[in-house]
Amino acid sequence: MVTSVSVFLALGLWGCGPRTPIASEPNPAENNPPAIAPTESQVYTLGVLSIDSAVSVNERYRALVDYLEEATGYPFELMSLTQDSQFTQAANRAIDFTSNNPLAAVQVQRLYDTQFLVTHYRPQTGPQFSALIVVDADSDITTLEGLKGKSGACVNFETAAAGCTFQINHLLKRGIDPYRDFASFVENKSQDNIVLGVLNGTLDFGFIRTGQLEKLERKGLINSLDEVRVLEPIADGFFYEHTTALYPEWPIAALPHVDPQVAAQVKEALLNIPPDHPALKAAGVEKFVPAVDYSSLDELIETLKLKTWDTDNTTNSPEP
Amino acid sequence: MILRNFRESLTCKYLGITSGFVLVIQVFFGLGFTQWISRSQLRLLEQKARDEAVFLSGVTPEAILDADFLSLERLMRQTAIDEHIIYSVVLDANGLPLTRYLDSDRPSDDPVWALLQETEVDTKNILQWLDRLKDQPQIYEISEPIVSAGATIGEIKLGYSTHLIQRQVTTMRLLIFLISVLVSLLLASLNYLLFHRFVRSPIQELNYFASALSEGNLKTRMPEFHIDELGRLTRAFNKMADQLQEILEDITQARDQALAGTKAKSDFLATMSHEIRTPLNAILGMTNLLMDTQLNREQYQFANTIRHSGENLLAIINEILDFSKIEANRLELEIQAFDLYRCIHETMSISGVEANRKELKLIHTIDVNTPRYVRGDITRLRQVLLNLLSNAIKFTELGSVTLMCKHHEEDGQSFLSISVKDTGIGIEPEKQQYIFEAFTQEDTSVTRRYGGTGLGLVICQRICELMGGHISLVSEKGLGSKFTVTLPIESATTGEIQHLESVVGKTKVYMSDGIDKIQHAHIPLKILLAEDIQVNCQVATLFLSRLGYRLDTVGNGKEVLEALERQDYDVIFMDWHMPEMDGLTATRMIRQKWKEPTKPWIVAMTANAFAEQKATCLKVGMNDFIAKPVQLRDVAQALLRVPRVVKEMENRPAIAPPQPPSHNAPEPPEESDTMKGMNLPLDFDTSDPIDGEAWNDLLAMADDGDYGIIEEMIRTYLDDSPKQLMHIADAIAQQSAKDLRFAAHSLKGASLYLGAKELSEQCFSLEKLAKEDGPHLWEESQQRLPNLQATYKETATALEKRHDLLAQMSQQS
Repeated sequence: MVTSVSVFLALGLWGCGPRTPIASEPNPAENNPPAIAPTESQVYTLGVLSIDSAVSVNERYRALVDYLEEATGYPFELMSLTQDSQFTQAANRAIDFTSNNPLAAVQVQRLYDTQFLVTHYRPQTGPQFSALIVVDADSDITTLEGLKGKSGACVNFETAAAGCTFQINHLLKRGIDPYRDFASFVENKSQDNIVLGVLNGTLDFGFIRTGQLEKLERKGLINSLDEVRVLEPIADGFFYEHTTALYPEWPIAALPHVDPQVAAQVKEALLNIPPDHPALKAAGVEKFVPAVDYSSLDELIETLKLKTWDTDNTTNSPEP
Repeated sequence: MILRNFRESLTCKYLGITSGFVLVIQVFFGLGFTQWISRSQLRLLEQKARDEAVFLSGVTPEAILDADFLSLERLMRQTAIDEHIIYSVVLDANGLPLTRYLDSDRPSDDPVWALLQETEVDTKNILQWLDRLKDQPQIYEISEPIVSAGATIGEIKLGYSTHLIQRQVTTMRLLIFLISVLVSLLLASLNYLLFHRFVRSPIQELNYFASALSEGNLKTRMPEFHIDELGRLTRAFNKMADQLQEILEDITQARDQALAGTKAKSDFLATMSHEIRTPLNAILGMTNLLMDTQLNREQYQFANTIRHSGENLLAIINEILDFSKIEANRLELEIQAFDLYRCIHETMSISGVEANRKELKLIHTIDVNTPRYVRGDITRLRQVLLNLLSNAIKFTELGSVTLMCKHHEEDGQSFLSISVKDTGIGIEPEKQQYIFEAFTQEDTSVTRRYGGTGLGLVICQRICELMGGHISLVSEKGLGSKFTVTLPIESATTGEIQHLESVVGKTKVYMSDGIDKIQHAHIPLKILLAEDIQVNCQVATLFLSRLGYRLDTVGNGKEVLEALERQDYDVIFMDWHMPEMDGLTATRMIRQKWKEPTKPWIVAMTANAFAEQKATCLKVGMNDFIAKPVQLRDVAQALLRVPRVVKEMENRPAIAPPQPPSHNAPEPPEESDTMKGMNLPLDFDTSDPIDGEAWNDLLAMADDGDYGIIEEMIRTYLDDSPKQLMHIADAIAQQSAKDLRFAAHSLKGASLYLGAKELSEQCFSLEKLAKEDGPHLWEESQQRLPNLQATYKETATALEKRHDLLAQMSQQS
């Protein structure tokens, strides 16, 4: 299954090869340092953190890459990134532009000094999103304090943004230490699994991001949103019920080696993408806006002592 | 309708049976097949579900241990893609469901469909769901533990529905049934065509052929196209037809021979009877004459014995003649209107003679309801009654014989029932059945004692049957017998009744106009009759003797002259046509030779009763003219016109006016209890060759019911006329117009006297033809001859019958 997806991705990537002869060359491997500077290659690679699969990345961003080629006149390539490769490829300069979840994006920025060009502006939710803690609708847990002594799961203690760290941060602020106060607290890389675990009673609660329940409902894995209950939802008028504070959406950033002019062109192109462009719909965004303030992530990283918490990030400030 | 077809038609039977058989077999095997298919499908399904469960139990541990519920959920969905599988659920070690998928997207005819639409399935209620589904028909569940490292970490529950298979099987059954019916129909049609072509058609042809055979059409044969059983059957049929035809031919030949034999026998009997009767009549006649002469007692007794024996013989012969006629189917009824009362009275009178002789009381009663005038064959009815009465009298020694005539109606049909009861010897019950058989009497001793042929009752019975009636017998040995004749009758029409009554009236007033006058004048007249036909002579003799005169007769003109040479005659009755010298020539010569006072008064007698001819007669010197057939009144009046008579009458004015002498005028027949005037067969129909009136006139001439002379006339006629007829035939053969004219004239005159009008007319026209002597004379006369002969034959038969009747009556008297 995984193999076939890889092949498919490779084919997909090769699909744009003929237009750019260099694209047919071996992909700059994660482990191989670039022999030629990206600028000289004249091919710009957009890396996108994969949430579920490379296929999904291709589906969502292929149209946008095509748009960028068209709008900027430069050839572009798309690369699916994992939690690991998003850092290594950035280090190797294998990617020129990158789009990651805000936590990773800020972490990459703190490491490689990327420049945030734009922020995804989602329909209904705009440039923000949030996290929630769900329990079974019949659960007797009604408050965050009620989670103590219960079993729960999140996506990843270290790398998941709305899938874990946002909630941990929120709980810590309430004086609840997940690692200490929960009967069990495990990782499960799939938010769907977490919801299903809550529903089948394996878990007492689960950490998931906004929009995930709706996705499950759409997929038919749950009958309705009423099967689960969101703990202590914040009534701030945000489109989705959520437990934690709001955080900025995914950005698209340019790596420092990219010609600022090119970066500017790209930013310009993204900001000016026609509202009815199919690339927007494919990417699941309404538009792109100039990069918002990501300092809440810096704070999060530092509070939870996540990767790069100790990096000097004085230079890492959003573009004015 | 269908049932009747099935019963009556071989094809229907055959097709019904074969098609039904094929259908049953097909359905039987089809259903068996589907049953087998269904079972194996169900087994396969179960195996598949089990395999699936085992497969799932193999792949799920990883996901369970990994808490990869999404994968589990997807696996469950994947599993349920199979349309037979309704659910597959993974339970954890505690039996709690880890997955929640249930295939609610079932076809709407699935019995669980409605159930699945009730509420949505979730993890919490899925176990209840499974329990509910398990209780549904056609749903089966398979459980398989999920084992990892030797420990059970969960369980797979897989539910499948046999509904689809059942539905397929149902569809298949329906299809198989339809196909069976279709195939049966197809087979039946094919079968029908082939059967029709090769079996039914030939059988039908055979059937037609056999029907034709049974209807007697033996000439057709079946073409032998087939070599199978039907072919053999056809050949057998043809052979049978051949043999039948052969046999039929043989039988026909045998029958024809037998018939010819019977006919020859009957003819022989008839001829012999006839031949015997002729001399017998002579014997009887002569005996009668003999007994009128001076005989001593002994001689008289001998003669009387001769007469009785002759009469018996005649009766026997008459019976044989009748019987042979009946046997040869030649007895025909002459249906005409007649006076039934009179018929019975007459019959009673006839029988009365014998009854009187035996001193028996003869009684008769006629029911008042009985119609007087009816239609039927009076002669045959009279014969039957006479026979029954004569039998009754014959076998009764003491007591009475009673005739009772009754009339009744049944279903709108009138019946006459006439019974004759006697107080005679009676007939034993066991012998009663034989007495209507030919030549049988109660026993042979009876024959010896009473005589008779034993044919009488047979004849009676046959005659009754011929009339559409029957004859029955009630008898007690020693007490008497009662024969009852029942006959259907119809009343005479008004016209016929009027005719009958007028005839009766006429006979009553007949004797008048000069007859009495001349009878009582007693003027001696010498009369000569010139007439070549003997019957005519006899008639004239009869008439004149009735009037009290005797006469001499001669046969032609020449003899007249000769007779006149010998003696004088006051009156000559002269026929016109005579051989050698006709009446005209003779008259002319007489007139030349004999003057007053010996001049005879000549009265012409001719059938040529035209004024012109009358004038001719008078011209040649004849004095008077009477037309043939000669009537008594005409003769009487002619005599009264004779000058001598006129003179005598003038000279005797003192003579009393004629009184109608009682013995001369026949009394009304229905009041009569004597023999006189009783036997007048006054009733004739138009087909009778003998003219009724002329006949009655003739009979009226007979004195006191003595018909001997008429009998004699008929006999003479029957003896002479064949010669005349032969003369006619000879004349035609020899083409002699003169002879023909003469012969025809002779036959004409004689026939006319006896009332044979038709024959007489035919002779007359032939005579006229010969007289004209036209170019087509021989052709024409040749053509007419057969007709003439036929008419003669009829006439002769009719006269014969009348003669017999007269003879019978004379016998009784």
